[in-house]
Amino acid sequence: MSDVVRQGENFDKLVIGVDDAAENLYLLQSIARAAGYTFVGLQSGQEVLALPLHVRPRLIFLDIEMPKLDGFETCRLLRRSGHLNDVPIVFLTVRNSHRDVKRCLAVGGSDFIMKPINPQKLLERLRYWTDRRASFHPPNAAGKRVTKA
Amino acid sequence: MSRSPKSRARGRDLDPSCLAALASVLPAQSLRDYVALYLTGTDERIAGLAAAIAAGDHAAAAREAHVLVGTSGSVGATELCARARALEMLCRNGAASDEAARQAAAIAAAVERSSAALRRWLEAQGAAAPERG
Repeated sequence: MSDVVRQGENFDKLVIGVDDAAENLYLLQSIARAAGYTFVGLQSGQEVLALPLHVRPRLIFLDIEMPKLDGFETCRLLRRSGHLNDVPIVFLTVRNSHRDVKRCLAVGGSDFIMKPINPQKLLERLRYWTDRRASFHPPNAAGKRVTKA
Repeated sequence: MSRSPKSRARGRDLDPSCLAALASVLPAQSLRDYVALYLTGTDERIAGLAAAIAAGDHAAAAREAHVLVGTSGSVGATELCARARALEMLCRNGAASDEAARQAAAIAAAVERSSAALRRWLEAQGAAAPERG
């Protein structure tokens, strides 16, 4: 895991990306860093669940299709965890069926960005969610957004 | 002015608007590094895809194709992206092995064309293209 998660680092603008494809992580990292964010890339759901308590990202980008622990299950477990249950989670996926969108919200996802990644849209969503952190609340059990404007 | 058929075909190999969109948010060196990483990763995925098809492992082939959909679409390899999406669906829907093998061969050919275009783009940027896998 990157050195950036050491105790005492400044996590004020920390964004985490979780994707098993190195190309996708590099793209996320490049976009986030160019926009002034600190970025940590992780290649599995297990790694994000194992983040130390002192690591408080502003946003998590989460791929859905990953071996062993997929994005849906990772999100569900993050929402149950104590310290990351209120961090916005944006799914990145090539899936776009109505069922998939509903499932993203049902497990506690905040947003949904389609792959292939449109860099401008990703940057827009990145800024939107990191700017709204103070008023963000994860979806409730019924999958309804409760984010306040 | 309408584009010639050859020009349209080249556009499906590599849609330049995708690289332009990336260039609008990324530093030039990051974009070059990303393209180089994509080329290396795609060679590995094509090898993995061929091995999965040869072994009749459609679940593994679908996973490789799924990743290719996202990565190839981001750099503008439009035809490759569409073919990878089609193969992923075929594999998930239990298509016959020969049908999946035909689509995988078409994907390999699309990779050749799009990767050649990306290598030319890298060279035009003054960057060395990575060694073929």
